[in-house]
Amino acid sequence: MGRMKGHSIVKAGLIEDTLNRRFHFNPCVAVHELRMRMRDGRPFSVLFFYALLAILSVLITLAVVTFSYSGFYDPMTSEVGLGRITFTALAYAQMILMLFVLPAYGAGAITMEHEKRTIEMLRATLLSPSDVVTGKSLVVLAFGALLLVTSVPVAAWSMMLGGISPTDVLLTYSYLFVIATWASAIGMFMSNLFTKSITAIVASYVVLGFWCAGIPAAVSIVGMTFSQSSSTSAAGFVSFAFLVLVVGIVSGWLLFLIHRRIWSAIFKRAGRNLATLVSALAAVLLVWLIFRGLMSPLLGIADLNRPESMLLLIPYGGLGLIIYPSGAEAMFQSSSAALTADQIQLCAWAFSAGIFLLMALLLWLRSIALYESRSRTRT
Amino acid sequence: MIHVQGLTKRYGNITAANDLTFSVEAGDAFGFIGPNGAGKTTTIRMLAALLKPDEGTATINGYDVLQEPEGVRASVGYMPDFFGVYEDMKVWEYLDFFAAAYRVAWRRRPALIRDVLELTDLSAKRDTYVDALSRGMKQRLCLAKTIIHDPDLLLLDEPASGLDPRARIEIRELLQQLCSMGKTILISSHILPELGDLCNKIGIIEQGKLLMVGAVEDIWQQLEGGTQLVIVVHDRQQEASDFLAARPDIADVELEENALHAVYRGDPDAQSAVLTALVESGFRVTSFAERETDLESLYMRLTRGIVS
Ligand SMILES: Nc1ncnc2c1ncn2[C@@H]1O[C@H](COP(=O)(O)OP(=O)(O)O)[C@@H](O)[C@H]1O
Ligand SMILES: [Mg+2]
Repeated sequence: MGRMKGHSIVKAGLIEDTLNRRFHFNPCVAVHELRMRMRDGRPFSVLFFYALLAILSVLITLAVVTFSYSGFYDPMTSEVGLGRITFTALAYAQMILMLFVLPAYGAGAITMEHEKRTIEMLRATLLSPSDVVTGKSLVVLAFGALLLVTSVPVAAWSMMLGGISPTDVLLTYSYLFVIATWASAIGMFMSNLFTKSITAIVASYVVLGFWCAGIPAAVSIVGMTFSQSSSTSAAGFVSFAFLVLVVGIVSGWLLFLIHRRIWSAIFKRAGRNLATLVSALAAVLLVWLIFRGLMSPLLGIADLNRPESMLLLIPYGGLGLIIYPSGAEAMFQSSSAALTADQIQLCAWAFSAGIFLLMALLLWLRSIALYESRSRTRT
Repeated sequence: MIHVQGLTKRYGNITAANDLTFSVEAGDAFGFIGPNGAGKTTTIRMLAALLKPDEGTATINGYDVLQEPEGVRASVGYMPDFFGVYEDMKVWEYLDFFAAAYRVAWRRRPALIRDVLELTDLSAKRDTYVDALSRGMKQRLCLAKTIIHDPDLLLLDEPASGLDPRARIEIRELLQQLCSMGKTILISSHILPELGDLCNKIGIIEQGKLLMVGAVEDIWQQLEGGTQLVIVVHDRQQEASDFLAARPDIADVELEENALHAVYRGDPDAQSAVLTALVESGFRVTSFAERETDLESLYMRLTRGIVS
């Protein structure tokens, strides 16, 4: 027993050494956070309710579908398997639950240090801003993964009901994990922006609510206004423009960060203004090249000038297109070669998950930068 | 160890630290004294590379606080004035976290934790939850985390504030022990007796300005121009007082509660001549002593007139 424990300590220590040396990442914040958050099986009550709600939503769907003799589902004639319907209910229930749980979980990460008055001592250590922010983010993500894993048995049961393939399940789960990353990144960002947990949590919910409900509403209002004056699909164009905007802002920020790290290091202080100018020009050039080089083949695959393309930007829209790829058919079928349903599904997954991952990456980098700037000047 | 030159920090129109210049050598115990709001915390946070000075420079162990904060952090153990502890965390886990955060290799951590727990007299609490500790124990635990990476310099911001007398004494003994281990200590306080036995050097700060800085005895000498003597005679106190006042090497005699407080300005080695003269004149001297350098009265004398 003692020897076993000794072995695991050595193993953990070697992992720590490797992370420190190879990746310049000090994992102690993650370990510390895990010790606190996972103590005494505290998260298991959350896990339990999560699983309970997920199962309940599946059962309710099942009951509604099979026992109501309404016309909208007849198991004898429908092409959609019962498994797919229950799985859809499961996936959506999980997405909603995660969008509630994870931002709150992430939003407390740094504000908690302020509230407990531990932030000063944390900042006095040799931990880098990235060690702190990344370490804490990883634990929130691990919790998200744990939530997803608890629902796997329910998903397996759906598969047994038929109508759903392992690929569907895999794509859905990976997509849900990407959404979890995005949601917790929003929480983490707010946690660095504010000093009170409650403010950070409310701000995260407001942003998420705006993203999930406000954007579709705004786009459809604009779309309706346009479609009266012209016959082309204006809503599609608007959503496409929006997508370009998102990608543009994200890549612009990434370039700005690269500029801050690399250019200003080269030019030091003397040529800072010059460096800013040069890198701004370089950024413009690069964004243009990326759009020419990277986006045009993508645009060849997808006709983002359609109303459905907006769905790719919204968590539940993307999820719908992954589970029911037929919805995205028109969007991806306009390209030269006809795509199979599987390929369409993969395209929808790649586009939507890519956008959310990009946003999560941006938020993560911004969180680190925020933490850094706060620790050098204020409070 | 610490070299501060013209250090200034402003908050709006408040100058929390105003053109501070002082230095602390290795092995010193430097007492930073001043009332609440004087700028002690602001200064210490700048020294710990947690706050950016508006003007001036500070180097710690040769590292500039602005240019090389990493070097500063590695050489400094910082204990804030107000701090909290993590909930749901055991004492050893708490120390293990900070040790790892200061990049102490994992192989060395268990032994190190054992050592600092022993030093701070918390060995029995190794597996206790941190938030279940008493206030004094929390303070000692914070001191334990402050020394966990074996820093050369300790920046302690009011480490004994809000403690009961017993815990206060425990902290002071601990700090004395750390001094004797060769650590350089900068300790702030608004309560003077706290620093009494501990510090060999003090700086007095008031409204962001350093009023005086130097070795405790030097400041005394400067103020009094002599050594304080406390003499107790069995009777004829008033006569003794007059007798002393008549001597050329004695200045400023006061009679307080049967004790004579006198300032000796003569040759320090010939101090006993005063005692001999008293005894030879028939006074029954029961006690003849140099007065303990009392920071409180020093402080009161220093700030008298300067601060209104
Ligand atoms: N973050 C801050 N913003 C504005 N004023 C501050 C801040 N921190 C300290 N001060 C002011 O600076 C002065 C010095 O404060 P401080 O260094 O905390 O004093 P001390 O530690 O000696 O009690 C006080 O007048 C205080 O109000
Ligand atoms: Mg203070």
